[in-house]
Parts: sequence; C-alpha cells; structure tokens
Amino acid sequence: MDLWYDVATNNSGRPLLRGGEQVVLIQDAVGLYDGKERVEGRQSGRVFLTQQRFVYVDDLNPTGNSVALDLENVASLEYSSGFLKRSPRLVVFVRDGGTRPPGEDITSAGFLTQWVCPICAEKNSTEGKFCDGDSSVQPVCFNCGVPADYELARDSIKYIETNKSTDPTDRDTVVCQSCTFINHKLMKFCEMCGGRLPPRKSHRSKKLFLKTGSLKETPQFFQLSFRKSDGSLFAKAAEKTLNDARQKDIFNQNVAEIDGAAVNPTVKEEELVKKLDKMDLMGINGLEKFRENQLLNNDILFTNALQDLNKLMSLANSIERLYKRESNNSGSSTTAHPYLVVDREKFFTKDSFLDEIAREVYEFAMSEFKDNEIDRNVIVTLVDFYAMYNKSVRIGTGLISPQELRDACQRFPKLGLHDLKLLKVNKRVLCLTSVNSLKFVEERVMEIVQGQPGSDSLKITQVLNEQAKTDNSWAIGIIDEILSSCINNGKLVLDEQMSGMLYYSNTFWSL
Amino acid sequence: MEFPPIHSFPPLYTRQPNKLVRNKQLETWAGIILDNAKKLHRWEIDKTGRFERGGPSIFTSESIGRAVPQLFINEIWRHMQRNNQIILRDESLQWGVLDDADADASFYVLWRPLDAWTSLILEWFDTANQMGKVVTFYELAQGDESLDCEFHGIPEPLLLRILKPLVKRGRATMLKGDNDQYVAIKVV
Repeated sequence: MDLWYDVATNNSGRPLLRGGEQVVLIQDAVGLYDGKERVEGRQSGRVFLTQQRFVYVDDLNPTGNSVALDLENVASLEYSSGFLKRSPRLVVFVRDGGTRPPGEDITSAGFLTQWVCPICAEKNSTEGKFCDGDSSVQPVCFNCGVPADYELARDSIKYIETNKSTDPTDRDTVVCQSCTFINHKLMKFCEMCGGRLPPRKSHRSKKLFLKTGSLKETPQFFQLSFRKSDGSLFAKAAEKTLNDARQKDIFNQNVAEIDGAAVNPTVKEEELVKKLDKMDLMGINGLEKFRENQLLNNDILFTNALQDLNKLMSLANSIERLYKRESNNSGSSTTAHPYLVVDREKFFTKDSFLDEIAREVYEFAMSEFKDNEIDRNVIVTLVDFYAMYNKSVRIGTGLISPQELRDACQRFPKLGLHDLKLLKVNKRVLCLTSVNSLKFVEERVMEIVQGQPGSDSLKITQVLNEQAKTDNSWAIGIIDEILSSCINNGKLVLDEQMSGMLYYSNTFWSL
Repeated sequence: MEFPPIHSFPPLYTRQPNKLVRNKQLETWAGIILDNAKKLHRWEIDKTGRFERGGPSIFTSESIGRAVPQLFINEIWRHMQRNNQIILRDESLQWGVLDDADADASFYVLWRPLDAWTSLILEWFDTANQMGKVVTFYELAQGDESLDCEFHGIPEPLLLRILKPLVKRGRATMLKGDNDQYVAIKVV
C-alpha cells in the first residue's frame, strides 16, 4: 500500500507536476479501492493520467488527501465494465515490492540469462529470468535492438545465478538512465544531465499508508472506480500511456535518432513541419498550407518558450521561497504559479473542462492578486480579467471564450473555491471579487465621502489608492460602480455640477 | 427668507436618481416653500420660485452658488400639486403650462389645504359673530376684524375659490357687485 504517496496540490486543487510531466487525460468522479476495500476519504476525486503517474486529487480535501502512483510500479491494467449497481472500474495490478529500476523483474532477480539473438546471432546476457509466458521480461538484443522471441531463442537460453549484493549500483548509488552517471542515492535528478533518476523505495520522501477497513497483507492491485462515466476511454489511454512509458524504458532508451529519424516527439513535430515546408505545393492552396505550417511552427516555438519560461519561473519561485524560509522562518506561503496549459482535448465533456478551467482561472487570479495580501481585497471586472488571463497564457493551446470564463467563474462555489466569487454590481457589471471586498471598498468610499463631502469619483479613487499603499490600484470604473450602487441604496447623494458629479453622504434623507 | 440648514446642502439642488431619496427631497422642497410662505404671509409664487417680481428665487442659494434647474423645479411643482399644496392662479390654465418654457405661470401657495381654509373661515364667521350678515371679501381679507387671522391678506380670487364650496353646500350665498363679480358673502 505504500506505493501511493502524497502529492502537493495548489490551492485550487490541481496537482503540482514534475518537470517535463504532462497530463494526458483527466477523469472526474473517481473512487479509489485498495484491493477490494474502499479507501476512506478518497472516494470522490479526479484522476490525472500523466506520462509518469496516476494522480488522484480529492474533491473534498485536495491538499490533504491527494495521492499519486508511479506508472513504473504498475504491472498491468485491466478494465472491467459496470454491472448492475457496480460501477465500471480500472483494475491496476502493481508489481511486487514496489519501486525498482525498470527492466528488472523482481521475481527473477539474482538470475542472469544468456541467450543468442535469433536475428543476428549476437550473444546476449540479460538480468532476470527469461521464460515463456512472462511478458514482463522481454529482453532486447544488445546488437540489433530487436526484442527476443522466446520460442526462437529457447535453445540458446542459459540461466546463471548471480549474487545480488555484488551489484555495484545497489544501495548507495543511483545510475542515471540517460547519461549513466552514478549519482548519490539521495539525488532525485542527475547531477550531470538533470534527468530524472529512477525513484528508490528506501528514500521516498513521504510514504503513505492508506486507511482501509482491515489491516490485511498488502494487496496486489488497486481499483479506480468510475462513478459517472464508463471510463473506457480513460482505461484505453492509461493502457497506451503505460505501454509508451515501458517502451521508452526498454527500447533504445538513450538514442536520439534511429536511422536519421528523431525519437523525441517534440523534435519530430518540428521535423514534420520542416518537411511540410519543403513540399512543393502550388497555387493558393499551397500558400495557405505554407501559412498554416508557419503558424503551427510559431505555435510550437512559443509553447516551448512558454514552458521553459514557466519552468524558470517555478525554479525562481522555489529559490525565493527557500530564501524567505531561511530568512524569517515563517514560510507558509505556498503560492504556486498556475500552469496555464489546460488543453480542451484532454476532457471528455465540456463540463469537466469548465471545472478544470475554473480551477485554473482561480489559481491565476490568486497568484495575480497575491501582492494585495495586506487587505486581501480584490475587485476586477470580468472584462479586464478576461483580457489579463488570455493575454498571459495560452499561446498555441487556444484561447477561452468570454462565455467559458464566465461559466468557469460561476463554478467556484461548487468546486469549493471560496475566496473569490462572481458578483454582479448594479445588475450590469460582472466582477470577480474576493468575499468581502465590495463591502470593504464601500465602507472606505463612505469614509472618504464623509471626511470630504463633495468629492468626485476621481478624488475618491485617488485617496483610496493612496490609502492602499500598494501598487495595486482600484480601477476608476469599479469605484464608479460602487458609487452608483451607494446611490442606489441611498447611502450617497449627488450634486451635479459642470465639472462632474460630486458625492455627499446622505445625512438628510436617510432611508 | 429664512432657510433650514439643508438649504445649503448642495445635493438639494440636483435631482437625485434614487426614487426614494428623491421623494424625500421633493418633500424637503415643499416644506421649505410652505414654511416661507407661511412666515412671510405670501400667497403667490411664480414658476421660477419668486414670491414677488424681481425678488430672489427660493430655488437659488447665493452662499453655495447652487440653483435648481427649471426642469426639476417643475417636478417640485407637480409634486406639490399632487399633495394639494399649490393651485394654479389662473383657473383657465392647465398644468400642462409647466411644460411650456416660455409661458408664465404662478400659483397660490396653500400651507393649509383648501377645505381647511374653508372651515377656518367658517369658524371665524361663528366666533366673530358674523353669521347671517353680509360680509364683503375686502372686509374678510383686509378688514380690521380679521387682522389677527391667518387668512388676513389673502387675495380675493383665492378667497372666492375657498368660499365656493360653502355656496355649493347651501351654507352661504354670494352677492354680485356692479361689474358682475362676486364681492360679498352671507353665511347662514
């Protein structure tokens, strides 16, 4: 059960992914089962399928109850459809003993298998036991790179028992899979090339013990139960991702090119575009194609740049956080930057997409307005916010529509995001506000007007912004709306002059 | 003219957008006009808010440099008309005259409602022992007998309109003078 470990999520309930990790698919309304037992407190959440793990994010308590399982610990997947009241589920069989370097099977550890490649007759020796029907060990020829077929290689197979403890890469070191540098066991990333090192069971930071009804011996499988949808698409995607991850581990792992063709998918894309560029297309169609390709190219470039920038920012942030914690030891400011890469193709329904966008938008707003920490009051018109949001993100992934933003903002209370809400001021202007800010600003405005009767909105804004002391200023449009709402509820009265409207507190005609 | 403190409150001179506040504002204006009329014993006011020709308008404040725009003044007049606090001086005119910017119009200010005036005068007939006697309008409005009365100095056309209901009810008869106009009344 200690294969699942805690993951950090940001305030809006999105998991913090590792560098280079990308979300493949998101499935909502999922419950976790440990073997056949329900896992307490993890019965309703979203599961993010990434290239590296399953990440379960709890709906009710995203920061406390979210867990993840590395794909490399998964032995196989099995999908079982729903039957009567039983909801459809994805059974995840895990490998015995949990984490270990991929490609090495624990059941056959201590064995060295020698075999001759049936294709090129090269003599190979592989760790682990190579036997029939065991799909988990499928050795690949050292020389020609073709996976060996048991039937063909059977005659040449020899088993040699080796002593495990002589393995140089055993306890104190971790070998980088990309550059073969031998790192210290506590490193998570290679010191030479920065690649992710295979995780080791002995130094996993935070082990998780899921509470189930009984304390039986550890089961060999987990289940993801799909409460709302049939989950078959998710199951297929998981299967594919798992296979891809395995292929990557075994097959030509450190190779950048095979026969001149790039392996890296991002490189591949560029290659593709380049090839398309060169194609001799004629006429308007050709020009259009050319233009499209150019745009696509730019998009890819921008997205990459943005991702790099995001990485840099998060790095800078963590340094800053570290520095802060060092300097005043009161570091509980966990403001992670949003990824801003929600891709609508990863969602089955518009509904779940909007949910995710809502979280994203919330996180964006919180990080955008965190400077305002002193009074924690935010009011921004939805129009302004829409511009801010779309301007700062989403090159290449497509912008969101105003309607989508609005729908997303309306979902805040449903998703348990209570610090911001959508508010219609004066029945016409939609604003994104923090909980008490409207009342707060209204009180401040009233104070100012009482102190200086006959102020106009410009002056009120000025005084208000002087008081606020931060760079974050109140937009005059917002102040105008607040003033007119004060007039509507009879707190203020007007004096119309050539120079504009002057505001007075309503001392004579109180309602 | 004497004014309450609110007369130097600038928002008083701007039509308030909030309907509830505006109603209070209109009542404030009506109160200021009626109070001043009562104190100064003025019966007539023209549509720009002057009790006498060439005098200061009640809708202007020199001290804070504010004046009510005519459109809002008209709204005040209509509000007072609804509450029976003013009547048009010229009976042949309609209230629509307010919409005509050029037309001149003036009003009688009634700090008591019309029927209250009627009963006040009736009371005076009783206490002054004038029942059954012919009393001219001039005597009633300007005579020594009514010197201490609130209606002393009332314009005769207004007096006629106050007393007409008595004739209708059969409590009084009116007598015409030389030029075919009512000049006197006898209350029975």
